[in-house]
Amino acid sequence: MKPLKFKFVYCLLVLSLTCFSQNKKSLLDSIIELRRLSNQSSLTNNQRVAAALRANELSKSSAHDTTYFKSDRNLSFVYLMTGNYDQFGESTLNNLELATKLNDSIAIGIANKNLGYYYYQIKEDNSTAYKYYLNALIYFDALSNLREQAEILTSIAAIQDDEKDYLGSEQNAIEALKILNSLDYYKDQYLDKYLVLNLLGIVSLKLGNYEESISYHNQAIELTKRLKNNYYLNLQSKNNLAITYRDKGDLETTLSIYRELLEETEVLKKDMSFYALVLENYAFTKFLYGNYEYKTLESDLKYALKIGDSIEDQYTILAVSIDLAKFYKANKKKDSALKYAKESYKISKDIPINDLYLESMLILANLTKGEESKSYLEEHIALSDSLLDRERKVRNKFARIKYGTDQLEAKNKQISKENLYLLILSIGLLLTAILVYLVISQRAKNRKLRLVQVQQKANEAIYNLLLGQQDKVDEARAKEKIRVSKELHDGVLGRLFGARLSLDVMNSKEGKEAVKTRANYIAQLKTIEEDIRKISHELNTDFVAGSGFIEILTELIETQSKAYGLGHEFKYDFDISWDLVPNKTKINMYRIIQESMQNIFKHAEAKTIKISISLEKNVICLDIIDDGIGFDTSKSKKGIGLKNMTSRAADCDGTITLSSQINQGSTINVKIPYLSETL
Amino acid sequence: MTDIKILMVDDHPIILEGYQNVLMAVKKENQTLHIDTANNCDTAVIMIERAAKARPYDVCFFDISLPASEDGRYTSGEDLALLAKKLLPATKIVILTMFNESFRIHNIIKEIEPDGFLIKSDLTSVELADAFHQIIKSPPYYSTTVNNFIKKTISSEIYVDDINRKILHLLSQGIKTRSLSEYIGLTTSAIEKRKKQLKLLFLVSDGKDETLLEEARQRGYL
Repeated sequence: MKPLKFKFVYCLLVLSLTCFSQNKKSLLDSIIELRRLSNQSSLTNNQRVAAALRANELSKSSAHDTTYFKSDRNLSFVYLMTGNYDQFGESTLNNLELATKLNDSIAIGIANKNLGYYYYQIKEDNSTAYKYYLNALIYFDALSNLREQAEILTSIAAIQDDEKDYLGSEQNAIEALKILNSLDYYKDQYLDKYLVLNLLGIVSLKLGNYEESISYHNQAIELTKRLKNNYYLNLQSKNNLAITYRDKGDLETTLSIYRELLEETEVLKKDMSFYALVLENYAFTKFLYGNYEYKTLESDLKYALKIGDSIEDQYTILAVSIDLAKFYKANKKKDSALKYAKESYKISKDIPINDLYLESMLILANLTKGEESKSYLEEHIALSDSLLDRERKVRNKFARIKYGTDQLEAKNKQISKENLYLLILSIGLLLTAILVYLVISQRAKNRKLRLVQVQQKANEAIYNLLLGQQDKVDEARAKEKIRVSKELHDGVLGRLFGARLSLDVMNSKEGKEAVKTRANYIAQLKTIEEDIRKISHELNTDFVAGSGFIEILTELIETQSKAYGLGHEFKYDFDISWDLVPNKTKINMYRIIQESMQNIFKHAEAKTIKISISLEKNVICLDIIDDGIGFDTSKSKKGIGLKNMTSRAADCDGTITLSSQINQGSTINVKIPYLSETL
Repeated sequence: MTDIKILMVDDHPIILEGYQNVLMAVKKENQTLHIDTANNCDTAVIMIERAAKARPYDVCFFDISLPASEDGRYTSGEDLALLAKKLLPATKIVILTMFNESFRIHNIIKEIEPDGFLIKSDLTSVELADAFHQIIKSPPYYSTTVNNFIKKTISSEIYVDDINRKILHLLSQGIKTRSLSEYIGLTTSAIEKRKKQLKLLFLVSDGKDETLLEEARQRGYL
């Protein structure tokens, strides 16, 4: 039963797994489909948001971080597009969290930037926006994404302008401009550049740098010619330029610019508040210029005010009201002036445009008398003080935020520095390890080489010994030759000569005496003959042949035994003709005997050693037997000596066997082929 | 009647016997031979010294290879011949030797200038008899082999000094160059130099010892 149950469970598991993977696949498809739907502008906003939300939910349930993140980003984008700004902010915050979790630096940068946008444009919380923009800047700086950097720097500069940090704003704007100039052309480059230039123009004016401001505005105007739908921007920049000239005091240029602007009334009328602003500015400039017609100017200003009223643009109304107050005040219409001053004071209190608020208070203080004037003045002082204080506080806050991010940056740098040190350290360690390894292996190689050298030297020594022995044999042969030659020469030849001479003389003689003497010499010849035979026989037996190697071995065994104080026995087979055995074999046999005698002396505590060399079925058998303490062959490790002996035996195609028992001595048996089969 | 006093030195009694047999057989009727024999240097020296005090020998026959004297002063017939020349200036010296190498011949002629020089291998009883008579009457008498050798060396223009001759001789005996210094009082390098010189003299182009020996043999230096 049991195995069956298991099988069933297994089947179920496999089934569910396949289902799961299929589900997963279809899930992903549907998420992608929903995302696509959410971006279709043909659908209503609610439908789009619903699709994006659904995609987001599904993604969240998929437990796949990247998918969830993408869906979430899509959702926030859809919120932004459909005007759900609050949700946009929330969703973007969530997005930032996810991106941080995924450690996706591009996504983190974008989320920070979006949040900056959200807080600046929608929440109008400049310091929070500033914080997010700075964070985004750090990420894009690290990513070397220059375009995003420029965009963010522009936004930061705008925030700083708002908060009257003109110097900081100018600095960042110039930085952004530099980056934009260094970039290759892209789609919105001119627009981005225009925005920066326009901002720089405004900021420069506020810093009192009129010439620079004029130059920036002119550049901006120049740039508008390359932009699509540029007209409005062109006019706006011209207005800005005009204001700069006005503040500079060049009223004539200001007026000419306004006249030029007002030629485009049709275009201006598309944005009535701007149209009203232009009218107001033109009129007020004329007022400042003097030499105006009271009626015309009054009607101009009133017209602007009327437009402001009709579109309920508080700012326009406020601006025109202050103008009118100043206008009436200058023309000694105190009541009218006071009326408009009070009007502007009221409006500017509602919409906090502090500059105008302060201005209106100053005018009121001027127009009123006594306690009333004094109270306006005091209010003015209090407000400007608090404004200054606030400005200072905001700037401090910015500095703190920047300091915080700077600290973060410094920390990052520190970490990357530490990482670098760590890298260098590990590389150093690695190199050291490699070096050590190389040195060790080199040394091992050297040691091996030295060992081989020592071996070779030993072989050479034995070879020389063999050669020396050969020389001895040769010498002995030569001596024997000389001896035989001498024996022949001095002994045999001389006697032969004597006998010949005598026989020669006897030759002619006759008689018994002569015959006897001749017989005597003939007998002499016989003995000489015998002698020659003897010499010939001696010549025939090669008295030195083949004895060389055995002699060397005998000498080795004798001297070693004597040195070690061992008794020895050496038996060998006369049938082996050592001349036919290769020198290599002889050298190896010599070394094996030498090595094993050394080992026996060192370890075996033996009394006698028996060495025998015999020939069995064309195999040279070398046996080295001792009567020492023996050892356990299974336990003892192979020493260098034994390894050497094995390799030596193998070198001449032989085998070596070692047998031993505790307290029963040991036997080394080496078998080496005598003559190769082909011989 | 003339009495002729003779000393014969040879280590083989049978040779002495042979000489005696020949001389006795071929002597002239008016000649009486008084023959002393010696088997070794010691005996020979005693006899020469004795003769110097009494009546000197008329003729001395010396073999070259002889058992040396016990004090080592006399090692061969050459030494004996030199002694005889000194002690018995009038005595006629005859060298009888088995050696027929030109080196030996050259040395003997140069050092001893014997009155008779016979090589045993080509000696017959007739030649010995002729030699004996001529030496008594009008020395010198050199055997054919010796004469041939003298002819050869005179006709050859190459001058080979004694040491070089010895080197050639030893080489022809099969002695190796590196053992030559044991036989000649020279260093191996000096011997090598001499060998090089010899090879130049004998126009040996391939530098082989064998060729050198062959050339020397042809020109009668061996």
